[in-house]
Amino acid sequence: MRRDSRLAPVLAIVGGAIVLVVAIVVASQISNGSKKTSADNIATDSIAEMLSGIPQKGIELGEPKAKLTLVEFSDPQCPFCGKWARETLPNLIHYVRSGKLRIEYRGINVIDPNTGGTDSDRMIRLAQAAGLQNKLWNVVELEFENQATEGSGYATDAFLRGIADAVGPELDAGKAISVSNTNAVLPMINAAQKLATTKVAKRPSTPSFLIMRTGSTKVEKKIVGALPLSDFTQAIDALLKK
Amino acid sequence: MSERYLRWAVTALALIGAGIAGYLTYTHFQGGPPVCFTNGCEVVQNSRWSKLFGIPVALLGLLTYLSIVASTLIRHPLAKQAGAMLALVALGFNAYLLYIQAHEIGRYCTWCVSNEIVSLLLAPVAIAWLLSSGDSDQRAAT
Repeated sequence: MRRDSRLAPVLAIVGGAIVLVVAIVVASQISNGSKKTSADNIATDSIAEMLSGIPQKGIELGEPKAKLTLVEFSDPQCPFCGKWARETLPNLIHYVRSGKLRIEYRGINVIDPNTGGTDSDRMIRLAQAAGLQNKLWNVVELEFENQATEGSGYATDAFLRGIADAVGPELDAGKAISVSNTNAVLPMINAAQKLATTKVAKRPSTPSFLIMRTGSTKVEKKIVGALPLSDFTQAIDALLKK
Repeated sequence: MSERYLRWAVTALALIGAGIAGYLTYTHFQGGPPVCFTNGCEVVQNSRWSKLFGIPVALLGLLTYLSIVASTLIRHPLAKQAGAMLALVALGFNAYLLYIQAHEIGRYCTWCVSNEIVSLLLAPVAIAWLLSSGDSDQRAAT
């Protein structure tokens, strides 16, 4: 009898706890949910959250006065560039968020000439057009998140529209798409190609990276390939200490 | 085991949990990566699952563990019941977060897994504490 009277409140507590946990889990699912847009099936994952609160201007991500600048040369179709964007960049973003590092995106087209397609060109153009609205990084990371087989012609009008729409209301998607088809984006594309051939290699491969002191043109460290995270953190930490 | 020892055990485990959650809360607001023994801490910390309606999950964990500690300091059966319920809620939510790490993020955060182990130990101890009779129950009875 005494045992039953002691178990009753315990059962009530366990039941209450289960109800609370279910409520929290449901709230979490509603809060985070699957962030795939049904209209265009573009996976957004946690890109918006990763970039939220970090200043963007043109091709730049991070505080303009950051001590170091990381220049990223990549092709939106290149699988290792995608791997770097999905796996390494999220682990470097704290340097950017804390104002120590800024990153420049330099999209270079190395795959279209080999496949005879136009996917890289179309995606780089869209990224640069979004850069005119200071949303280049959202587009670039969405392109990597939704990367498909190179040379397959996946960068269709619908795909590009889906990417632009997935950025959210901060980007005028229609304007970005139309500007991407004009010569307004060419200066940045040509500048990226020129920088890659002068600072990386005559025939640059992707991804390649330069680490420099902000405001300086001297390359402190060149990294070619999607090397392990530690190659980046060691170089950045060493330069920050100097 | 006596009610007093069980209460101390609940307090100690909740303080360990609060320490871990406090550290994760600190790194969250500081913006830096937590010291990590796997390659998943920052990925998990920066994932969309690290917040619930904009509130860092680590902060919610810290408040939960501190509430459990408070429940052990208040000598009243209701405080005991509340502490035990919070321990069970922490266990359930931590199990959910472990599932998210395994199936949604694909990475494990050392600190988060440590916290999940603490909650796994804390829940049965809190239930045993709830079932034990001691000062608080006698105080309520008098």
